[in-house]
Amino acid sequence: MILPGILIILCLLSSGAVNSQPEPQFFTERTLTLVASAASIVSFFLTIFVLYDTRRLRSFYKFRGGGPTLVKELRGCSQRISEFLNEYDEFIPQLSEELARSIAKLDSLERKLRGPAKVSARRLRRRISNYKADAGSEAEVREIYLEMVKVVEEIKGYQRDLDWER
Amino acid sequence: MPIEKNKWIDAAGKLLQLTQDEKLEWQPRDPPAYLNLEPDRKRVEVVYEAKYKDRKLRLYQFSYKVEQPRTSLSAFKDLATYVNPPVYPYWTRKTVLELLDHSGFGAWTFPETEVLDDLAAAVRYQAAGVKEFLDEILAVAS
Repeated sequence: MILPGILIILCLLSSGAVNSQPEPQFFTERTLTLVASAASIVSFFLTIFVLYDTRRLRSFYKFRGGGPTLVKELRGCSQRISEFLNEYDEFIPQLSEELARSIAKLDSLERKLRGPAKVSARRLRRRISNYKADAGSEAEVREIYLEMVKVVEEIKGYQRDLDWER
Repeated sequence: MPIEKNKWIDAAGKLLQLTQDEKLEWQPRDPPAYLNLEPDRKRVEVVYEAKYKDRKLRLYQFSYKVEQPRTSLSAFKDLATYVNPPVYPYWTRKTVLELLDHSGFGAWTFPETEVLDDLAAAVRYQAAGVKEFLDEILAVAS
């Protein structure tokens, strides 16, 4: 007896027979448009964030793959340049070779880095590319050597930051 | 990179240049006893001393044993570590440059930079007289 009674009351309520006053409707065309607009704006920013984060993750794994080895190799270049500087005049051809080798390392590193470390690597690569072995001076090679050491230190710092991120 | 760190690299670079230009002369010496208190874990073979504008500098490389770490904080280490895991214990080297006080003790240690390793190589090159040796050899050969 009770269950049919409840069902009848529910039916009346839903048909508006009991409460004759018109209820404010939420799902109007206007509110739906507003909600959809807001959702598309939010999803736009979400897409940008996902895009940014994907690029960040991609560079993270690209660096993890070969970055540490390249940093060691670049350090090897700076070490050899320092050795050649013991007798600059005797080792000018070897210095040019070593600088050319370091350009290749920096080029690979640049594609794996992000942020200030990438900018520093690019700046050094351009500086070495502009260096002319025949017209270059010992002072210039010394400056390149010191900048190379600084770039290696900076990339190592970048590497340490990545260690904390993962 | 912090400017402070750059300053130390530049300073060590200047010492390297002075050494390579033979304006700074390094003399090999026996290491003081306090540097070899635990020879089975850390040892110094030789130290090099130089005087620069009334200040004494001491440069040395110490070898130390690296034991296997108990736990690793990170599950992901460098890929290279997985491919070629280090065999523990192993020995490695570190270069130290000190500014000495009047009694010969290390009053202050330069921050670690890779230029110090290159400085140590240049000092060994100078102390061993490699340049003179090469000149002599080449003079005889010609």
